[in-house]
Amino acid sequence: MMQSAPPLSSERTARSLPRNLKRFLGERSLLLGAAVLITVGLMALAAPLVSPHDPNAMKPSERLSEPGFSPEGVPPYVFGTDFLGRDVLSRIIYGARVSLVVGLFAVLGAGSIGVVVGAVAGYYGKWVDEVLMRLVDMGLAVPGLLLALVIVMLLGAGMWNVVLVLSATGWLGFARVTRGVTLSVKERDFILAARSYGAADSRIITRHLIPNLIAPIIVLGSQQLGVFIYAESSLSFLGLGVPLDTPTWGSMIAQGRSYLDTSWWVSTLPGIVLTITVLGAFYFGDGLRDALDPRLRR
Amino acid sequence: MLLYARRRALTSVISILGISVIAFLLPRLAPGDPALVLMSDDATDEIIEQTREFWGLNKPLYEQYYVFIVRAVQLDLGTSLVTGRSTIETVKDFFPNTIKLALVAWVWSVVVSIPLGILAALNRNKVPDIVIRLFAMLGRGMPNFWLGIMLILLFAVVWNILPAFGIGEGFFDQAKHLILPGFVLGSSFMALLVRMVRSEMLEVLNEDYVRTARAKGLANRVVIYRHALRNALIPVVTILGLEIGGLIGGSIITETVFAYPGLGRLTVQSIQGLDYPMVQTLVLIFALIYISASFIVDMLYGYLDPRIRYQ
Repeated sequence: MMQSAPPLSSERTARSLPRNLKRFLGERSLLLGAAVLITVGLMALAAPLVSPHDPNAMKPSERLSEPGFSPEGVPPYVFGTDFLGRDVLSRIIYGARVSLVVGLFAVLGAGSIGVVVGAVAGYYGKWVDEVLMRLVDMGLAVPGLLLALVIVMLLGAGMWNVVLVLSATGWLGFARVTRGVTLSVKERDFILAARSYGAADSRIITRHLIPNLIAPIIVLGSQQLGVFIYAESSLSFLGLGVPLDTPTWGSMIAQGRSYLDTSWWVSTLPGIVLTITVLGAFYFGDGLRDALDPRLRR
Repeated sequence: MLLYARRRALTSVISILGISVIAFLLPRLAPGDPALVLMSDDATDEIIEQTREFWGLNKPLYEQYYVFIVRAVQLDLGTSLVTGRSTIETVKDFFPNTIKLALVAWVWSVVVSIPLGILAALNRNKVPDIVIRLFAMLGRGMPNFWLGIMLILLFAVVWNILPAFGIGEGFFDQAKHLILPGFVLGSSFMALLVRMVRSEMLEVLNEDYVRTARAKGLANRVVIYRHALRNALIPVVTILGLEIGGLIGGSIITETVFAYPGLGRLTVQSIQGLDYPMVQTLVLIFALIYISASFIVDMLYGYLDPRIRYQ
């Protein structure tokens, strides 16, 4: 990133970087959130290397073994096994892949739709704004989960369908924020100045509008990451998300439900990891917001 | 105020019409002949023909939509494929259960969160604030379905003091069945409210009129409750109403976890069973509840804060 910066601004960047870095590092929730997300990310990337067992290997003779169970000749089942004798820890590690892939791609999808719609509505105003914002209101008039379930009903389950569904239902917030920022930026003097020297719409959008949008969108995106990971697990819990042959935290929790009276670990442990991940994303987003805009800190 | 009410009513009606288009299109977007989608697999040709007639499926799309709207207004949206009963009747059976659950969730979260939010704001960055914020953060990040399962594990399996599933009979038994699902449904709302009350209080406590009230030598209690809290609660009121919709949406998960016979569980079962007529009705009902709730809240808000009306 640094090398690609134009020479004129590199001096300024170099001077302000330590201060910026200090501001980010001083934000404890940002660091905590980043640590959680990086850990989960590494876990997902290195899943085949770090998981002690094949996540789908069934050993009926060792089904519902307690955490710490260690038969001879194989690595111990640190988190126990589920009702088919699959290693819970390995499935949690592989489940991180689904959660992160769905979460990240849904943020990208929802963010792109929302930013485009919001910017168009805010920039062009008048009836375009009216029509698009009524559409957003309409979308917000149904519970998001209901809308997601209805789309799953039409499309069928599947990981990429879940990404599609979450993008299709999650862009509304991005559109609102983008529109708000666009409206306020549009009134600023530097836009008037740009117009007065004859800058085209495209130039105003890329040079003035987008730079002002980056910070709020990144903040919203990282908060939405938590929301989407949560939503994916909810859909998978209901059996309407990612198909059962892929390990996901939501479906693990659902499957463990029938064995609560004998085997608490099957539902409990994936839920703890899920909660920590979702909270990590929230902390990261909140911390980023505070670092980027200290006025919002409470 | 009247002008504002009329304008808000108009946008509500437009929203409802928009949702009705989605509900209308649903079986028509599904793969296959809509007449077959709207009927169970074992239907005879005669019944399928009746369905076609009922929904006007041989007519152009805009006439079909007209038929759909007329049926919706007449509260006759066909029969559920799973139960074979009228979808509206089915909703009527399940509706009171969901309202009861949402009410329990709403009341406990409001009753708990307002004092906690005030307590946190008054002790900013001290132990009570840190504990309350952690509590609120957990409520926000803990998936409802997992929280529900954990509570079942503790209260029903380990300690065996509360029922885990169903609805119960008689007043006390029913009340007992509402405790766990009500708590779970309200938990994320509680978390949201605590954070909101806290931040609004912090903001208001810095306002000039609060400083003036203190300078006048008013008792701390009077300053906090009469001057600060009243103003802090205005934005909270909006959320109170808006989240009625959120609670009803949350009932989809919570009712499924606790096998509680309400609209949420009915929704999941209807979607799993590809029961299109039922899902159409449910989408309309959910939207209607949500849109009327936010309409009422906006009216209330316009009444509480005159600045809103003149925007």
